[in-house]
Amino acid sequence: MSVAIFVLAALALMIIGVPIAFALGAASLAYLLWLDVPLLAFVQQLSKGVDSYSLLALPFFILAGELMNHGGITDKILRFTNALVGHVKGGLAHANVISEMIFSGVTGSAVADAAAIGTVQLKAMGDNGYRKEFSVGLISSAMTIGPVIPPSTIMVVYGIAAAVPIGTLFVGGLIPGVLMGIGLMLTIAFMARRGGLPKLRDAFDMRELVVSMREATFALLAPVAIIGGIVGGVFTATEAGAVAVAYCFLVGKYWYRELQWRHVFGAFTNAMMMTATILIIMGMSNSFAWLLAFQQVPAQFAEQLLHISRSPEVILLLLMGMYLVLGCFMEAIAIVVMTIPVVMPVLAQVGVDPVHFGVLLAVNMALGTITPPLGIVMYVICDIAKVPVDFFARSIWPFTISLVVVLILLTLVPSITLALPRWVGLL
Amino acid sequence: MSAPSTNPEAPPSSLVGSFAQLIEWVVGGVLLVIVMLACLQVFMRFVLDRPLSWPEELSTLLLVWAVAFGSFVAVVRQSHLRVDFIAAKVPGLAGDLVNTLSQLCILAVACGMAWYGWAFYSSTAGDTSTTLGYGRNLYYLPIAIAGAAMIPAVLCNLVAVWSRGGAKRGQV
Repeated sequence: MSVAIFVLAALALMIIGVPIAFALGAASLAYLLWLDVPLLAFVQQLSKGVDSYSLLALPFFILAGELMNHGGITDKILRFTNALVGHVKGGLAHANVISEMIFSGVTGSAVADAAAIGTVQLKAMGDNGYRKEFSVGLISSAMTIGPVIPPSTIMVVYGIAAAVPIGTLFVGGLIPGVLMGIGLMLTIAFMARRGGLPKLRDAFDMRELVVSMREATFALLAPVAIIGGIVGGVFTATEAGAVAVAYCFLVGKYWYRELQWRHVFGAFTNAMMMTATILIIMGMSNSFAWLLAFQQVPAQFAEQLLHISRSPEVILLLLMGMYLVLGCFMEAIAIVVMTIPVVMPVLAQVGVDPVHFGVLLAVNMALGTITPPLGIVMYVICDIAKVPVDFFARSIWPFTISLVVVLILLTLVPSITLALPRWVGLL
Repeated sequence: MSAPSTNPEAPPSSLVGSFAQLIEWVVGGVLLVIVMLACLQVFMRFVLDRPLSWPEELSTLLLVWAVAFGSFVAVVRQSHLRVDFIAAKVPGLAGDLVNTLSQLCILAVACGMAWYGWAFYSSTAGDTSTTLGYGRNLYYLPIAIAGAAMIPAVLCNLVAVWSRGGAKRGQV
């Protein structure tokens, strides 16, 4: 009972505007005092939540994304995807989804992608005659692919919390991420048939495709190098992040020659500041999660859930429903750190593969970034597009439905997620 | 929810603000060092076939320090991730009270970090790291220092909330 009170207190503090990390920290400290547990445990768990080499993947991939945008790589990818599908109805919308799938191969965060390319994409779609409602809905939904196609910040956090190899999770996210993209493109195609979305150009231009592809070669190779390096065992997921940084720097600075030194310095401070705000949430959540474990909440939760069913499909569907609701009200990193110790015993008992679950969680948490009232990508896009939350909520539902269908499909058919890791010998 | 960016309503430049700017550059530099260490590790293992173990340990320590001090900078700039849709809509005195409650929560946590961070640092003095041999308690020291640094920052934020709010109410 007291656990529920302190969880609700933390939520209430978050809702009135206390920074998420400090709402969790204040609730943890109060709970420790309530339980009469030495408060040194708070500091120990806070440090432990951040003290991990694998976590370095976070600043690395955020930094790689920053360098990619300033180094002209983003523009080259957008030009290539426009040349590829610009001639079909809703061409620019399709191009934005494909671009996001490629960006996702370098960056790992929906928020970073939204902040970096949301402005460019919204303006381009507006200039091309798309309704604002459609543009806002599509661009926000496409951002959810970012945390699923490797690399992924959510998968890094889950991998550490659940002791699952991050490289295997990354490989497992590849097909689901592509499926999310296909789901969105099918929705666009359906809407184009019904509502007549504009084309970017009248006919397919082979010459433009060849030129843009040649120009974008190094940009397109970045995801291949990163994912290939992890799969091939050349480097770990964390080292892949550092390699991605070096790659984006060298290509942007010396090949495209668009990266300025002031951009590089700015990218380093921005990436570290963004990392600090994310990881302090992780540290504080770790204290909270430790308290939940201390109160034996995981065992009680497992008992209650297994009382409902022992079928892996039913358990997974119930958990996905729970996470979709949590994702509407809380920050993804905090949800993962706080709930994984609670959920893992149940998954182990019903025989759910932790890699499968990790990928489902990434899809689910990505959806949480665009669902009102507290989706973080939603706020970034609302800010960029200058639209209110209710306008946003109306605009995303057709795309959200297609993403939820993909999530259900992935939940019920584990082999979609696990086929690739098995094929490359990681499982 | 606000993304991690500088809050335009954050207090104007002051001693604390200048110090935060300096720290921001330092944590950016720390990230540069961490990236170089990771690249060095890949190079040593795959090119020279002489893997190193110390860069991993040093990088992790640097990460803990950078996160603690980055967190201090975010307190000064009021750019920590937060859900601001209620706080932004509450007008006048009620809004100032909500902001004050928010700052008081940060203050409580900062005091906890400073006091118990120092206590934990002092009580774990004997442990050393595996490869470089530095004290393991160096992982707890930044929590104490960053917590202590947050206290004057929060007080500045509180003064700013009430001086700005008072001025607005005075105009009305």
